Amino acid sequence: MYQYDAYDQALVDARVAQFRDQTRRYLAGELTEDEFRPLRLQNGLYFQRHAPMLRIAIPYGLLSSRQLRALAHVARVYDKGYGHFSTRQNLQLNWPKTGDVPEILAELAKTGMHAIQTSGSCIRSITADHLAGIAADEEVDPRPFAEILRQWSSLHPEFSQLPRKFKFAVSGARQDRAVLRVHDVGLAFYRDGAGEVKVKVLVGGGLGRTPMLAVTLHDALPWRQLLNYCEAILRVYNRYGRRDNLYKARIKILAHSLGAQTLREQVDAEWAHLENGPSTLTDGELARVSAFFSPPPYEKTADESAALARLRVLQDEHPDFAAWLRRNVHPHQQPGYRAVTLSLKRAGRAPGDVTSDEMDAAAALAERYSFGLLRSTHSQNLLLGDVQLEALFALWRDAHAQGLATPNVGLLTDVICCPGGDLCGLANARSVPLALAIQEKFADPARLADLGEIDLNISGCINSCSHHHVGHIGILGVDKEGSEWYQVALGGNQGVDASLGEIIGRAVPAGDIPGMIEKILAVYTEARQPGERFIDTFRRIGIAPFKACVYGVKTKETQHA
Amino acid sequence: MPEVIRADGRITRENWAIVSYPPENAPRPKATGKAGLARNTGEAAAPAELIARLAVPTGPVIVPLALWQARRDALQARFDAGEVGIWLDACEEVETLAAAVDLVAAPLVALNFPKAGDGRAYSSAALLRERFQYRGSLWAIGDVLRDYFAFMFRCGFDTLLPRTGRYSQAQLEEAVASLGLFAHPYQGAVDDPRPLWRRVQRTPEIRT
Repeated sequence: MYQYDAYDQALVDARVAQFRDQTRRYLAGELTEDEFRPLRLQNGLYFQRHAPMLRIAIPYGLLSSRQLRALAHVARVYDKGYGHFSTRQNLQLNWPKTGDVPEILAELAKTGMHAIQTSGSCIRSITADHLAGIAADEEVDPRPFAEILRQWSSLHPEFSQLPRKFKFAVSGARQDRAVLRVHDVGLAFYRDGAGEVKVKVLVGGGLGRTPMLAVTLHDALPWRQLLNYCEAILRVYNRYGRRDNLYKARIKILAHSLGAQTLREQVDAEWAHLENGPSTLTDGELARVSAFFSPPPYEKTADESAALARLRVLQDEHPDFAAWLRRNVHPHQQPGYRAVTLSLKRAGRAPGDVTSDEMDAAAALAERYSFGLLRSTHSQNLLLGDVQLEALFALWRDAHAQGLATPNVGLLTDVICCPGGDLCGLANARSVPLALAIQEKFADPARLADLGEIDLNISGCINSCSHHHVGHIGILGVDKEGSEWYQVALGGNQGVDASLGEIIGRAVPAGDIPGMIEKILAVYTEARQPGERFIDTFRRIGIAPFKACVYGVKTKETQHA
Repeated sequence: MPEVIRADGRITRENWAIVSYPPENAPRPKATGKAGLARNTGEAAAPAELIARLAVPTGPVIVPLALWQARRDALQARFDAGEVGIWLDACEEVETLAAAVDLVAAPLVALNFPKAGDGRAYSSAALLRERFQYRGSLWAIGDVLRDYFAFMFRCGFDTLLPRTGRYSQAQLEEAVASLGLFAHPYQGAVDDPRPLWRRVQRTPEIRT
C-alpha cells in the first residue's frame, strides 16, 4: 500500500498542528461556532446528539495492521473501546472529547492516517472497489489513481468550499462494487482495444433526498488527463452549483437541470484550457505511485486443484466452514489465493461496529494470513485481500474464535446500516435496533442461505448514509409527528446495472417491519424460478405482488351497475 | 483606512475605499428547501435602482461591477488615473468583468466572499490570473477568515482584507506567522501551477 514520504508526513503533521490551533481558538472563544463548523467538518469532526463524532479517513479502504492497531488504540484511550465502519470505508469514533481530537489526530499521524476531508463541503475521502488490485474481473488497478486523486484533492485551495460535499469513487473491474453511479464522480478505469488505460467518467449520481444515477460525461478519457478533467468538472461545479438551497446543491442537480449534454459542453469548455496543463499525469508519476501497489510476494501454487480437493474434504467435515467458504471467500487474480471477508454483522451487534480488541484481532489475522494488510468495504465489513487457499481453514478457525467469521456476506443479515437516531444528530429514526430485530428474526442459517443474496439497507434519515435507495430492500426512517416510522422500498440495486428502489407503500412503525419483510420474502420464495435471486425475481414480476401481499389486495370493486 | 495582509506577509494600511451595498441587499431565504442564503451564479448582485442610489466618494475607490457598468463614462477618467478598482460579488462571473473593463489597465480587482462557506471567489481568482492574464492587484474582501488566508494566496489573491475589527493586531500577526505551515502542497495552483511531483524528487521512506 501507499507509504508516506517526507512530504506526505509533513503535510499531515502540519494539518494536526493547524487543527490543534483551531481547536484552541474555538475553545478560547476566538472562533465562533459558525466559523469553526467548516474547519472541524473538513477534519471529520461532527457535533452530534450525545457527543462529537470523529470520522477517520481510510483512503480507498486500504489499511495496514499497524494502522488498524492505531485505530484500536485511539478508540480504547479516547473513546469507549469501539469504532464503527461506515459505508464510505471510513472509521467513526462516537464518543471522543472535542479537546482530545488534536491528540487523537497526532496519534494517527504517526501511522500515516488523518481525518482530512471526511466531511464538509469539499472533495471527500475517496472510495474504491474493495477488491481493487486483486479482483478476478479487474482490468486496471484503480488504487494508484485513487492515491493520485487523494493527493490532488487534499487541501485543494480552489475547491475547499464547494456548494456541497463531493464524493469520488473508483473502480477498474467489470463488475461495479464501488457503486460508481451514486457518486458525484464515478471513475471506471479500463483498457481500450489498444491496451491503453482509459477512464469512463460518470457524473451527477447521489442519494439523499433526490436520488439520481450518474450520467456519462466522458467515455474514454486518456488517463494522463485525469486531473485536468476532474479540475474542469470541479471548477464548473464550484462556480455554477446551486448555493441558494442546500437540498439542491449537489452536482446531481446541476447535471440533471442542465442535462448531460450541456454539462459536458461546459466541462469541455473549461477542459480546453486545462488539457495538457501542468497537472497532466506522467508515466513517471504513475510508475512511482503504482510501485506502492505492486503485488505482495505471493507463493507460487503448483496445483490449485489439489488444494481445492483438500478444501472439499474439510468442507465435508465442517459444515460451518463450508458455509463460510461459500459466503465470505471471494475469487482472486492470483492462482492459489482468495480474498476473505471478516464479517462485522454479528447477531446482537450494530452493523459495522467493531471493538478495539476485535480490531487488534483482525490486525493479527492480517499479519498471519494476508501480508499485514486489510481493506474496509462499503458494506461495512473488513476484508483480507491475499489469503492462500491452503490457509483458509486455519484462518476460519482463528476468525471464528474471534467472532469474525459470521458466514453471511451478501445475505439478508449482512445489513448495511447507519448509526441512526441512537447517535447521529441528523437522524429521524433509529436504525440499529431495527437491523438487530431483522437479524434476530432471520437468524436461521439454513433459511438465510435459502433466501440467498439480498441487500438490506437501513438509513435513519433521508441523508441515506446506508444507501437505502440501492438496497434490494431499502428501509428509510422518517419522522411522523415525533415518532419513528419506516418506509420500505424494493428493487434498488448496486453494480453495473444499478437501479433505485421503488417505495412499496405508506410508512409503518418499527414493530411492523420484520413481519413486513417476512411477507416480502414469502412473495419472493413463492414466485422465484430456479436460480433467481431476490432482485431477479423482483425485476421480473414488479412491485405489484409485493404491494398486494404487504398492504392487502384492494380487490377489484365489483361494479354493481 | 483598512488594514490588509499582503502575499509577502506584510500587514499594511491601504487608502482604498469600498463602495458596498446596504444590508437590505442581503439575499433572503427562499420559501422552500434549506436556505443557503446565497445568490446563484448569474443572478444580479443588486437591483438597478439600488445601484443608482450608491454614492461614490472621492479618492481611490473600489466600486461594484454593476455600478461600473452603469456609470462607466463618469468614472472613466478616474479609472485611467488608477483610482478605480472594481469588485465582484460571488454570483458575478469574471467573464462579465473581462467584457466590461480593460483588465490590462485595471489597477485593482476585488472578489467578495459573502460568507466563508462560499468558495466561488477562489475559482474567479484562478480564472482571472490564469485565463484572463490579469496582473493587477487582486483583493479578497468580505468574510475573509484567517484559516483560509493560505488558500486565498494560492489562488492568486495578493491582498486580503478581513472585516473591520474581526482580528486584533496580535491575531493577524499570528495568522501571518502560520502562512508557511503547508510548505509543499500536493496540487498546483496559481502561485505555482506545478503539482508536487513536478516540483520535487519524491522518494518513499522505508517504514517497518
